[in-house]
Amino acid sequence: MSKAKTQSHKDAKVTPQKSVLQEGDDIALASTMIGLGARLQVLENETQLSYERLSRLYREIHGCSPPKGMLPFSVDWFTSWRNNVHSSIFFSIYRSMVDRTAIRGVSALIKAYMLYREQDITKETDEPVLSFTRAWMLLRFVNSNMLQMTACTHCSMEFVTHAHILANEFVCPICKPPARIVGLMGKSEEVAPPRMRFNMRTLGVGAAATS
Amino acid sequence: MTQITSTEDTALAEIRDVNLNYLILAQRLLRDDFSVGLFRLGLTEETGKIINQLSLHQLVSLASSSSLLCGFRLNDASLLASLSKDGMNGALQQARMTMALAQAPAMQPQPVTA
Repeated sequence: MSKAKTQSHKDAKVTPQKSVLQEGDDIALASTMIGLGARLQVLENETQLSYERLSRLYREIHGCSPPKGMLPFSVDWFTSWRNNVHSSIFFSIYRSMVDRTAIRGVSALIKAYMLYREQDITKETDEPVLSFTRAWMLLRFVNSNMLQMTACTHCSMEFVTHAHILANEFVCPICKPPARIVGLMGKSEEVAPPRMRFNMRTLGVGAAATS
Repeated sequence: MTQITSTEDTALAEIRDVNLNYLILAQRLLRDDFSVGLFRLGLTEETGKIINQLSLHQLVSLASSSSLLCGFRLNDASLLASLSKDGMNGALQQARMTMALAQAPAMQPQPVTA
Protein backbone atom coordinates (compact mmCIF):
# COMPACT_ATOMS: atom_id res chain seq x y z
CA MET A 1 0.00 0.00 0.00
CA SER A 2 2.63 2.50 1.12
CA LYS A 3 4.86 1.33 -1.70
CA ALA A 4 2.12 1.95 -4.21
CA LYS A 5 1.66 5.40 -2.74
CA THR A 6 5.29 6.41 -3.05
CA GLN A 7 5.41 5.00 -6.56
CA SER A 8 2.35 6.92 -7.63
CA HIS A 9 3.74 10.01 -5.95
CA LYS A 10 7.00 9.59 -7.80
CA ASP A 11 5.33 9.13 -11.14
CA ALA A 12 2.56 11.54 -10.39
CA LYS A 13 3.59 13.89 -13.15
CA VAL A 14 3.52 11.27 -15.90
CA THR A 15 0.78 8.88 -14.88
CA PRO A 16 -1.24 9.48 -11.77
CA GLN A 17 -2.69 6.63 -9.61
CA LYS A 18 -1.12 3.63 -11.27
CA SER A 19 -0.59 0.29 -9.59
CA VAL A 20 2.97 -0.98 -9.35
CA LEU A 21 1.88 -4.51 -10.13
CA GLN A 22 0.10 -3.33 -13.26
CA GLU A 23 3.20 -1.44 -14.27
CA GLY A 24 5.36 -4.50 -13.76
CA ASP A 25 3.07 -6.57 -15.95
CA ASP A 26 3.03 -3.84 -18.56
CA ILE A 27 6.81 -3.64 -18.66
CA ALA A 28 7.07 -7.41 -19.10
CA LEU A 29 4.44 -7.31 -21.83
CA ALA A 30 6.07 -4.35 -23.54
CA SER A 31 9.53 -5.93 -23.53
CA THR A 32 8.14 -9.15 -25.05
CA MET A 33 6.51 -7.12 -27.79
CA ILE A 34 9.61 -5.01 -28.36
CA GLY A 35 11.59 -8.20 -28.68
CA LEU A 36 9.18 -9.33 -31.41
CA GLY A 37 9.71 -6.03 -33.21
CA ALA A 38 6.64 -4.04 -32.20
CA ARG A 39 6.52 -0.31 -32.92
CA LEU A 40 5.95 2.12 -30.08
CA GLN A 41 2.44 3.00 -31.23
CA VAL A 42 1.43 -0.63 -30.72
CA LEU A 43 2.91 -0.64 -27.22
CA GLU A 44 1.18 2.62 -26.36
CA ASN A 45 -2.13 1.08 -27.33
CA GLU A 46 -1.63 -2.19 -25.51
CA THR A 47 -0.05 -1.00 -22.26
CA GLN A 48 -0.58 1.82 -19.80
CA LEU A 49 3.04 2.93 -19.98
CA SER A 50 3.98 6.41 -21.08
CA TYR A 51 5.74 7.11 -24.35
CA GLU A 52 8.91 8.13 -22.51
CA ARG A 53 9.15 4.90 -20.55
CA LEU A 54 8.41 2.80 -23.61
CA SER A 55 11.01 4.65 -25.58
CA ARG A 56 13.58 4.04 -22.84
CA LEU A 57 12.65 0.37 -22.72
CA TYR A 58 13.03 0.17 -26.50
CA ARG A 59 16.52 1.67 -26.33
CA GLU A 60 17.55 -0.71 -23.57
CA ILE A 61 16.44 -3.72 -25.60
CA HIS A 62 17.49 -2.79 -29.11
CA GLY A 63 20.25 -0.33 -28.29
CA CYS A 64 18.86 2.26 -30.69
CA SER A 65 16.06 4.78 -30.84
CA PRO A 66 12.63 3.50 -31.83
CA PRO A 67 11.60 4.21 -35.43
CA LYS A 68 9.43 7.26 -35.83
CA GLY A 69 6.61 8.02 -38.22
CA MET A 70 3.21 6.61 -38.94
CA LEU A 71 2.26 2.98 -38.74
CA PRO A 72 1.84 1.10 -42.01
CA PHE A 73 -1.86 1.61 -42.54
CA SER A 74 -2.45 0.06 -45.96
CA VAL A 75 -5.22 -2.51 -46.13
CA ASP A 76 -4.17 -3.52 -49.63
CA TRP A 77 -0.77 -4.69 -48.36
CA PHE A 78 -2.45 -7.80 -46.98
CA THR A 79 -3.83 -8.80 -50.36
CA SER A 80 -0.69 -9.05 -52.46
CA TRP A 81 0.41 -12.64 -53.04
CA ARG A 82 3.24 -13.26 -50.60
CA ASN A 83 1.86 -10.98 -47.93
CA ASN A 84 -1.50 -12.66 -48.20
CA VAL A 85 -0.10 -16.14 -47.69
CA HIS A 86 1.79 -14.96 -44.61
CA SER A 87 -1.12 -13.02 -43.15
CA SER A 88 -3.45 -15.94 -43.72
CA ILE A 89 -1.12 -18.31 -41.89
CA PHE A 90 -0.86 -15.92 -38.97
CA PHE A 91 -4.55 -15.23 -38.82
CA SER A 92 -5.47 -18.92 -38.98
CA ILE A 93 -3.20 -19.56 -36.01
CA TYR A 94 -4.56 -16.57 -34.11
CA ARG A 95 -8.16 -17.50 -34.69
CA SER A 96 -7.62 -21.09 -33.70
CA MET A 97 -5.94 -19.95 -30.48
CA VAL A 98 -8.88 -17.71 -29.66
CA ASP A 99 -11.43 -20.36 -30.59
CA ARG A 100 -9.81 -23.17 -28.65
CA THR A 101 -8.36 -21.55 -25.59
CA ALA A 102 -9.25 -18.98 -23.01
CA ILE A 103 -6.51 -16.54 -23.96
CA ARG A 104 -7.60 -13.32 -25.60
CA GLY A 105 -6.37 -9.98 -26.74
CA VAL A 106 -2.72 -9.10 -26.82
CA SER A 107 -1.47 -12.35 -25.25
CA ALA A 108 -3.25 -14.33 -27.97
CA LEU A 109 -1.60 -12.05 -30.53
CA ILE A 110 1.86 -12.63 -29.02
CA LYS A 111 1.48 -16.41 -28.86
CA ALA A 112 0.04 -16.65 -32.35
CA TYR A 113 2.83 -14.45 -33.68
CA MET A 114 5.47 -16.64 -32.05
CA LEU A 115 3.85 -19.71 -33.63
CA TYR A 116 3.83 -17.96 -37.00
CA ARG A 117 7.54 -17.21 -36.64
CA GLU A 118 8.24 -20.93 -36.23
CA GLN A 119 7.15 -21.57 -39.79
CA ASP A 120 9.93 -22.30 -42.28
CA ILE A 121 8.34 -19.87 -44.71
CA THR A 122 9.25 -16.99 -42.38
CA LYS A 123 12.89 -18.03 -42.46
CA GLU A 124 13.22 -17.54 -46.21
CA THR A 125 13.81 -13.83 -45.74
CA ASP A 126 15.95 -12.03 -43.17
CA GLU A 127 12.95 -10.23 -41.74
CA PRO A 128 9.64 -12.11 -41.50
CA VAL A 129 7.24 -10.88 -44.19
CA LEU A 130 4.55 -10.15 -41.63
CA SER A 131 6.01 -7.95 -38.90
CA PHE A 132 4.53 -7.89 -35.42
CA THR A 133 3.16 -4.43 -36.08
CA ARG A 134 1.52 -5.62 -39.31
CA ALA A 135 0.03 -8.58 -37.47
CA TRP A 136 -1.41 -6.19 -34.92
CA MET A 137 -2.80 -4.00 -37.70
CA LEU A 138 -4.31 -7.07 -39.34
CA LEU A 139 -6.32 -7.83 -36.21
CA ARG A 140 -7.52 -4.25 -36.09
CA PHE A 141 -8.55 -4.33 -39.74
CA VAL A 142 -10.46 -7.54 -39.17
CA ASN A 143 -12.13 -6.11 -36.07
CA SER A 144 -13.19 -3.04 -37.98
CA ASN A 145 -14.59 -5.19 -40.82
CA MET A 146 -12.16 -4.04 -43.46
CA LEU A 147 -10.62 -7.47 -43.92
CA GLN A 148 -12.14 -10.90 -43.40
CA MET A 149 -11.40 -14.59 -43.86
CA THR A 150 -12.95 -16.11 -46.97
CA ALA A 151 -12.99 -19.81 -47.86
CA CYS A 152 -11.47 -20.79 -51.20
CA THR A 153 -13.98 -22.39 -53.53
CA HIS A 154 -11.38 -24.99 -54.60
CA CYS A 155 -9.55 -26.11 -51.47
CA SER A 156 -11.97 -24.72 -48.84
CA MET A 157 -9.13 -23.24 -46.82
CA GLU A 158 -9.72 -19.72 -45.56
CA PHE A 159 -7.60 -16.72 -46.53
CA VAL A 160 -7.46 -13.07 -45.60
CA THR A 161 -9.41 -10.98 -48.12
CA HIS A 162 -11.06 -7.60 -48.38
CA ALA A 163 -14.43 -7.52 -46.72
CA HIS A 164 -17.45 -7.93 -48.98
CA ILE A 165 -15.75 -9.76 -51.81
CA LEU A 166 -17.78 -12.27 -53.82
CA ALA A 167 -17.29 -15.33 -51.65
CA ASN A 168 -18.72 -17.82 -54.16
CA GLU A 169 -16.12 -16.83 -56.74
CA PHE A 170 -13.09 -16.63 -54.46
CA VAL A 171 -10.09 -18.79 -55.37
CA CYS A 172 -7.20 -18.62 -52.93
CA PRO A 173 -3.69 -17.41 -53.86
CA ILE A 174 -2.26 -20.93 -53.48
CA CYS A 175 -4.80 -22.62 -55.76
CA LYS A 176 -4.50 -19.85 -58.32
CA PRO A 177 -1.20 -18.06 -57.93
CA PRO A 178 -0.41 -15.17 -60.28
CA ALA A 179 1.57 -16.21 -63.36
CA ARG A 180 4.82 -14.67 -62.17
CA ILE A 181 4.74 -16.87 -59.04
CA VAL A 182 3.85 -20.17 -60.73
CA GLY A 183 7.34 -20.69 -62.09
CA LEU A 184 8.94 -19.89 -58.75
CA MET A 185 6.75 -22.16 -56.67
CA GLY A 186 7.80 -25.51 -58.00
CA LYS A 187 11.33 -24.64 -58.89
CA SER A 188 12.67 -22.56 -56.06
CA GLU A 189 14.29 -25.64 -54.54
CA GLU A 190 15.74 -27.00 -57.74
CA VAL A 191 16.97 -23.67 -59.07
CA ALA A 192 20.71 -23.90 -59.42
CA PRO A 193 22.82 -21.39 -57.52
CA PRO A 194 24.00 -18.48 -59.71
CA ARG A 195 27.47 -19.91 -60.21
CA MET A 196 26.07 -23.21 -61.49
CA ARG A 197 23.77 -21.41 -63.86
CA PHE A 198 26.72 -19.47 -65.17
CA ASN A 199 28.58 -22.70 -65.80
CA MET A 200 25.63 -24.18 -67.60
CA ARG A 201 25.42 -21.15 -69.83
CA THR A 202 29.07 -21.30 -70.70
CA LEU A 203 28.60 -25.00 -71.49
CA GLY A 204 25.71 -24.09 -73.76
CA VAL A 205 27.85 -21.47 -75.47
CA GLY A 206 30.63 -23.98 -75.89
CA ALA A 207 28.23 -26.53 -77.40
CA ALA A 208 26.89 -23.92 -79.81
CA ALA A 209 30.41 -23.01 -80.85
CA THR A 210 31.39 -26.62 -81.58
CA SER A 211 28.23 -27.40 -83.59
CA MET B 1 2.77 -68.65 -38.07
CA THR B 2 5.28 -67.72 -35.43
CA GLN B 3 6.47 -64.93 -37.70
CA ILE B 4 3.01 -63.38 -37.86
CA THR B 5 2.66 -63.34 -34.09
CA SER B 6 6.07 -61.81 -33.68
CA THR B 7 5.31 -58.98 -36.17
CA GLU B 8 2.01 -58.44 -34.39
CA ASP B 9 3.86 -58.27 -31.12
CA THR B 10 6.30 -55.69 -32.39
CA ALA B 11 3.43 -53.70 -33.88
CA LEU B 12 1.63 -53.76 -30.55
CA ALA B 13 4.74 -52.76 -28.71
CA GLU B 14 5.25 -49.91 -31.16
CA ILE B 15 1.68 -48.72 -30.68
CA ARG B 16 2.19 -48.66 -26.93
CA ASP B 17 5.43 -46.82 -27.43
CA VAL B 18 3.76 -44.20 -29.57
CA ASN B 19 0.91 -43.88 -27.09
CA LEU B 20 3.21 -43.33 -24.18
CA ASN B 21 5.39 -40.91 -26.11
CA TYR B 22 2.33 -39.04 -27.27
CA LEU B 23 0.91 -38.68 -23.78
CA ILE B 24 4.22 -37.61 -22.29
CA LEU B 25 4.77 -35.09 -25.07
CA ALA B 26 1.20 -33.83 -24.72
CA GLN B 27 1.65 -33.30 -21.00
CA ARG B 28 4.94 -31.53 -21.51
CA LEU B 29 3.49 -29.20 -24.14
CA LEU B 30 0.44 -28.42 -22.03
CA ARG B 31 2.46 -27.76 -18.90
CA ASP B 32 4.90 -25.62 -20.80
CA ASP B 33 2.22 -23.35 -22.18
CA PHE B 34 -1.34 -24.56 -21.97
CA SER B 35 -2.85 -22.58 -24.85
CA VAL B 36 0.07 -23.11 -27.25
CA GLY B 37 -0.02 -26.81 -26.31
CA LEU B 38 -3.70 -27.03 -27.15
CA PHE B 39 -2.98 -25.43 -30.50
CA ARG B 40 -0.17 -27.81 -31.32
CA LEU B 41 -2.05 -30.88 -30.23
CA GLY B 42 -5.37 -29.79 -31.71
CA LEU B 43 -7.24 -30.64 -28.54
CA THR B 44 -10.14 -28.93 -26.89
CA GLU B 45 -9.58 -27.20 -23.58
CA GLU B 46 -11.56 -29.89 -21.75
CA THR B 47 -9.46 -32.76 -23.09
CA GLY B 48 -6.29 -30.79 -22.51
CA LYS B 49 -7.14 -30.30 -18.85
CA ILE B 50 -7.78 -34.01 -18.36
CA ILE B 51 -4.53 -35.04 -20.02
CA ASN B 52 -2.69 -32.45 -17.99
CA GLN B 53 -3.93 -33.96 -14.74
CA LEU B 54 -3.11 -37.58 -15.53
CA SER B 55 -0.72 -39.19 -13.07
CA LEU B 56 2.22 -41.21 -14.32
CA HIS B 57 0.42 -44.42 -13.39
CA GLN B 58 -2.71 -43.39 -15.32
CA LEU B 59 -0.52 -42.35 -18.24
CA VAL B 60 1.11 -45.77 -18.45
CA SER B 61 -2.13 -47.70 -18.15
CA LEU B 62 -3.77 -45.48 -20.77
CA ALA B 63 -0.82 -45.99 -23.09
CA SER B 64 -0.98 -49.78 -22.82
CA SER B 65 -4.05 -49.89 -25.06
CA SER B 66 -3.72 -51.96 -28.22
CA SER B 67 -4.85 -49.17 -30.52
CA LEU B 68 -3.45 -45.72 -31.08
CA LEU B 69 -4.64 -42.95 -28.79
CA CYS B 70 -3.77 -40.08 -31.10
CA GLY B 71 -5.76 -39.68 -34.29
CA PHE B 72 -4.96 -38.27 -37.70
CA ARG B 73 -5.95 -34.66 -37.75
CA LEU B 74 -6.48 -34.09 -41.46
CA ASN B 75 -9.55 -36.20 -42.04
CA ASP B 76 -10.76 -34.19 -45.00
CA ALA B 77 -9.77 -36.31 -48.01
CA SER B 78 -9.94 -33.54 -50.62
CA LEU B 79 -7.88 -31.23 -48.47
CA LEU B 80 -5.30 -33.91 -47.86
CA ALA B 81 -5.11 -34.63 -51.58
CA SER B 82 -4.51 -30.98 -52.37
CA LEU B 83 -1.86 -30.77 -49.66
CA SER B 84 0.12 -33.68 -51.02
CA LYS B 85 0.02 -32.24 -54.53
CA ASP B 86 3.44 -31.55 -56.03
CA GLY B 87 4.57 -28.29 -57.44
CA MET B 88 5.11 -26.35 -54.25
CA ASN B 89 8.32 -25.80 -52.40
CA GLY B 90 8.77 -27.24 -48.93
CA ALA B 91 8.18 -24.09 -46.94
CA LEU B 92 4.98 -23.24 -48.76
CA GLN B 93 3.77 -26.79 -48.33
CA GLN B 94 4.47 -26.57 -44.61
CA ALA B 95 2.70 -23.24 -44.39
CA ARG B 96 -0.34 -24.70 -46.04
CA MET B 97 -0.28 -27.64 -43.67
CA THR B 98 -0.19 -25.28 -40.69
CA MET B 99 -3.17 -23.42 -42.05
CA ALA B 100 -5.07 -26.63 -42.65
CA LEU B 101 -4.35 -27.82 -39.12
CA ALA B 102 -5.23 -24.48 -37.60
CA GLN B 103 -8.47 -24.29 -39.52
CA ALA B 104 -9.52 -27.87 -38.85
CA PRO B 105 -11.92 -28.16 -35.92
CA ALA B 106 -10.38 -29.27 -32.63
CA MET B 107 -10.72 -32.93 -31.76
CA GLN B 108 -13.90 -33.20 -29.75
CA PRO B 109 -13.95 -35.43 -26.70
CA GLN B 110 -16.20 -38.42 -27.34
CA PRO B 111 -19.26 -38.73 -25.13
CA VAL B 112 -18.60 -41.11 -22.27
CA THR B 113 -20.74 -44.24 -22.33
CA ALA B 114 -20.06 -46.41 -19.31
